[in-house]
Amino acid sequence: MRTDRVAITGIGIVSAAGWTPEELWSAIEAERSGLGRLTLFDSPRCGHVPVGQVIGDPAARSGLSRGSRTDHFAVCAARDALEDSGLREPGPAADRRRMGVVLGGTTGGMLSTEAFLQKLLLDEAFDAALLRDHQCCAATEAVAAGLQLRGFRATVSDACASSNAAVAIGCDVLRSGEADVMLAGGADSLTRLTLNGFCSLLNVSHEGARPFDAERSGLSLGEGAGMLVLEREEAAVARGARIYGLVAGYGSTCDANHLTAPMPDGSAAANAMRRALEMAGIAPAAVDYVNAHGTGTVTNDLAEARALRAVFGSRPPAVSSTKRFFGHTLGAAGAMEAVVCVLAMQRQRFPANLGFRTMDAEVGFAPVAHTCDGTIRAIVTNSFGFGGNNCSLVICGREA
Amino acid sequence: MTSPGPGRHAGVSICGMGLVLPGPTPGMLPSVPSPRLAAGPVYSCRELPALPPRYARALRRLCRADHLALAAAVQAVGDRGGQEGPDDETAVCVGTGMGVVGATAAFLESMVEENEGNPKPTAFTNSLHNVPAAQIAVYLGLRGPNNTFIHGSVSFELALWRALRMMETGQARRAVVVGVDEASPYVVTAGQRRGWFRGDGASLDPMAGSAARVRGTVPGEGAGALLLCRESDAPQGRREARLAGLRIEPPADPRIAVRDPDAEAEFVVDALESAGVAMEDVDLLLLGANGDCRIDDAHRRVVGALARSGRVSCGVFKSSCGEFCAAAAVGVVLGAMAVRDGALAPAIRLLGRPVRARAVSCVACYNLYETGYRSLCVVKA
Repeated sequence: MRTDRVAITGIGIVSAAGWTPEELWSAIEAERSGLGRLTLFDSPRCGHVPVGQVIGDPAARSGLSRGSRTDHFAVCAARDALEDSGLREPGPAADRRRMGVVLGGTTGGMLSTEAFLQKLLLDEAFDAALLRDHQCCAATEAVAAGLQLRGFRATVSDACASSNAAVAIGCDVLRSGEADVMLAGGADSLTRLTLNGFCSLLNVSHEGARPFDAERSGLSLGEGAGMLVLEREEAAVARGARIYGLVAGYGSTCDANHLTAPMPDGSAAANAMRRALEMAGIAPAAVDYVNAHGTGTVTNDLAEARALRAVFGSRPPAVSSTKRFFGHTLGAAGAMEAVVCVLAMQRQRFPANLGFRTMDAEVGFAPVAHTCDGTIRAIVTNSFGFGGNNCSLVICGREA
Repeated sequence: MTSPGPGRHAGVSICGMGLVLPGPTPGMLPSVPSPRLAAGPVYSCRELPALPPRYARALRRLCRADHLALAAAVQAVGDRGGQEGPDDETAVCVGTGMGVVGATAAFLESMVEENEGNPKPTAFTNSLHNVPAAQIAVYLGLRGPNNTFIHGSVSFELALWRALRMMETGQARRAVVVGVDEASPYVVTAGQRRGWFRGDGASLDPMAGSAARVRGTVPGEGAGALLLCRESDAPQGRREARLAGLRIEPPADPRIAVRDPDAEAEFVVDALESAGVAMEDVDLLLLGANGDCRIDDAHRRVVGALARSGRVSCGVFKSSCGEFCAAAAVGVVLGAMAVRDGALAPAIRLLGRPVRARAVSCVACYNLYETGYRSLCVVKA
């Protein structure tokens, strides 16, 4: 196993706050939430809650002749990321057999599956075509086929930690020498299943998520995709690629406690961060910014705050959750937030924790209230999911 | 074609194995929510395997795939009995092609039929793909990394790959690797409509189908589990199986019928060589043939190409479990059991006479899938 450093050489995003990194960053600077009214499907029970729905026609933008909404998001973000890295066009510098893709996801083509069931149970019609793109790996295969990535392929589904896991796996593939370029990220679309599911758990905010706020009342669901192009640093330098930064470390743990409730003391989440920092060779004191999982539910934010205090002490670095910009995008969340981290480091600006008004004494710190200047050399970004999955990444500059 | 893995995984022992197989003949699924759905035939576990008594309270919360996966994992790991503290060094890696289909369908059915009137939170949380992996972690107290792969027919192989990588890089000291899929009327019906599954009630007879030109296979379900540990951590004084190599390759062209048998044979030989094994060292080539003449023909052509450089003993296993996405787990566990015991389990059906009479000490599991993916896993004494 090689121990090469892994460079980020391209980014792509599709979100309710914009279809490009620039559009998303404009929303972050303007502190403009992408949450709004659900129009994607009718939901008699949950249609009133604000969601981060992507506006626009993803099928038209992706150019795919078929595929689920998730597949379209994935292809759009992946194509932009590859374009950004300068590897979009096949050429001698890019052996497509040495280029792979690993995606995280949870919903896949569930929107079509829901339509299939509606037809089956209410009209007694079995429309098999609606099941064609059901599986989450359809997005991975669509990206691989559309961008001619002929190497390693994998799809991971670790609930809301999926795409951080995908980035970690992408790094492992590069370090083992099994590929030269890895496109790593995640994609998920809004579905009736997830909207009704989270509503049934009484986890959804009726006013929009306010992570870490004393009066937070739940999460806001969203959809989209985030993609990173990863290469061994040495190879990226050799081909003259622009390097945004490094994925310097990653750590995963499992609470092994409960299917949905986080470990109250945050100990396993803290261990994920410690493992990531240890791999990166970075001390907690050297971390300048934490992009928190910060869903906005009472228990998740509290457990994460305890984990942050366990790792960083009573005065953690600048912390913000950026979920109110585009909603909680489940399997895509980690990769989309990794893109936010890359942009924050590039611009040396802390993104606002939109929706925060009042400090929660139990949380014990106030997140970044407004987007502002800062010195950002090293970042921890967290994703925690149902099943007790915790995955943290360390993203830093080349000199950190 | 790319070769995504160096393939050699020296130093990894298989310290425990678990296997949950369905009944020996296909039958009808008991519960079907719509007359439009097919009820069978399916190789299904009519009685779910028993779990240790301390899991009794958990049983009502376990879905079918969770139960299959947990039962296999408990066999592999041994019931830790809740006596030890949490284990931070053991990873859980699960491969499942379809996930927890029953729970997902139950939530969606109630959502559609009741027009979102009364969705059940437990059914929702049970619908996540990673629930089997989470249940294994919760009940066995495993706090290491926990990953679930959902990549069609290579889901189990990817879980195995991930476990090996994490052990190599020190991200985990041990790993529980599980392949699991549950039978569902939705999967059966969709598979029948697409011509993957037969509906004639016949039993599965891999590598005999070509003569009869049988199209389609018989669906199944089950779980296979391995406990991987470093050789230095393996219990001393007993015969152990070692995981010697793994290679997974995505398709350049997904059409299985156009696969070049010589190129496939080269893939097998090359993957074996990467694992430090010569073709003549392989006591059994365990094939993922599934009774569908297209799949069986493709495997037969590869065996024919391999046989040009010497005879090879071949066997099949899907006659014991039917076809499901993570079925490769069953093959690898059966192969590992054969190496540990020095003899073949009855679930393996030999094709012809064995080439050598000696005890089995090396098994290679080769799968060539409908999607064009292929994999080879090598287990040695």
